[in-house]
Amino acid sequence: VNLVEAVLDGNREAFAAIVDEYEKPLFNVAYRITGSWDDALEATQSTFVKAYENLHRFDRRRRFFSWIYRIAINEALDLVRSRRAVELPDDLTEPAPGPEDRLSADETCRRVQRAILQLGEHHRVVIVLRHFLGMSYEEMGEAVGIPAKTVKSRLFTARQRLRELLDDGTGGET
Amino acid sequence: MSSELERLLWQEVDGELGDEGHRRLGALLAADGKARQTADSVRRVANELRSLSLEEPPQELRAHIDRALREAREPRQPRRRAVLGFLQNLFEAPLVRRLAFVAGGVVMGALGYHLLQEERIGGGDLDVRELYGAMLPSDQGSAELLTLDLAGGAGRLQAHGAAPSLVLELWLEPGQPAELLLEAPSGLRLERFSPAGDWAGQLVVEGFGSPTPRTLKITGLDAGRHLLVAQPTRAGEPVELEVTSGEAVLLRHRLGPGRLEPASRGAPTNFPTPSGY
Repeated sequence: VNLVEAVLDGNREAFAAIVDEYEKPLFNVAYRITGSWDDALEATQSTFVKAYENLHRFDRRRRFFSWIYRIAINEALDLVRSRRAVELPDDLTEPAPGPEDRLSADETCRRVQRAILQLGEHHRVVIVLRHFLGMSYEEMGEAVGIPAKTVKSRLFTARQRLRELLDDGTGGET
Repeated sequence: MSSELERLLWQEVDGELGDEGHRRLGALLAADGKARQTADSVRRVANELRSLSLEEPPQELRAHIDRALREAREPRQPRRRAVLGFLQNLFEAPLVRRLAFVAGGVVMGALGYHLLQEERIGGGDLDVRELYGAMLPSDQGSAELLTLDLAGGAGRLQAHGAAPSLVLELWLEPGQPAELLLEAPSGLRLERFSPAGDWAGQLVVEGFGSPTPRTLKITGLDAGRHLLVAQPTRAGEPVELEVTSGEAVLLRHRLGPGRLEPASRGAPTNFPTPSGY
């Protein structure tokens, strides 16, 4: 919040420090939600622009990270929805080619990422926040805008579904 | 039991299983071979999830962000300076000039508002190019440019310009799902579509695969805000717009150089504000 106040006081360098701190986790959230390297780039970039433009609306009684993660989640989901619409019907079952190949040759990573992309939007988000960022239920609730209790049950269902996808041997491949 | 078992197993993975939970889990696993299979499965998935590490963002990301931030700052600076300059001049002027300034502003404002209202309510000539100005969607802080009410209080549609694209925000009240149809003689390029909630409709374009479909139809639009950005292939070309629900036409409108078809009129409705962050 000190950095936020510094930006609001006109210190632009402070926003650069915010970018330094959040660039990597936000990119990873966007990448795991969209399944696309390029979309993750776009979502991360627009997240920082929106955060900068709307910083004056940030409620300083809340935690900054949950606010900025929320923007990132919305940006990533917007891209997922717009791609889903534009790329109908063939590209629905398979994410855009490339990211897994570019990122890792490890088959386990590919299987898990593919299974995550087969989850519904809400389930995908809680899996990513919990397992990639290690957020608590309360933190996830703040970032998503739902009570921690709802996060808990949503995460349980998401994990059940993910296990089914991974256990059927295809890693979610259809 | 399987649900309880899985819940306990995930609590174990999260490190949140207390002594009582450990005892209960041990009892379940000891009693049932299938339970042990479930435990293996949950632990395997947990390990697989752990195996995924955070990826390093590409090096170009930082340059992209810096450039986007620069662009976000630049348009505002001259405007802010101009406004500050104006205010400075105003307060440095003698009292009579200041009062004349203020009175003139009030008169011009009232006149402008009156003309704008005439345009919206009565319909008239509206060049589509006016919609393609330098405006941005409302969630990015711009003023609305054109608002059309849907028939029967079913919602409203706002059109903004973000040159050279047409930005449409369709707000629907809870009720029957609606369809949106856009048509342009030389074609449209869909740039973005962000439906409200868990949209389960279809997007149909004439000649799928063509980069510039002539018509664009979106079905299954439910309550909430739907954002659509499209660009006519030929700048300034009229765009026909229709919103229907079942057999009922909620709005039919022509955005373009020709005459505007008057929108359905009715008392303003209370609509939800655009979702913030």
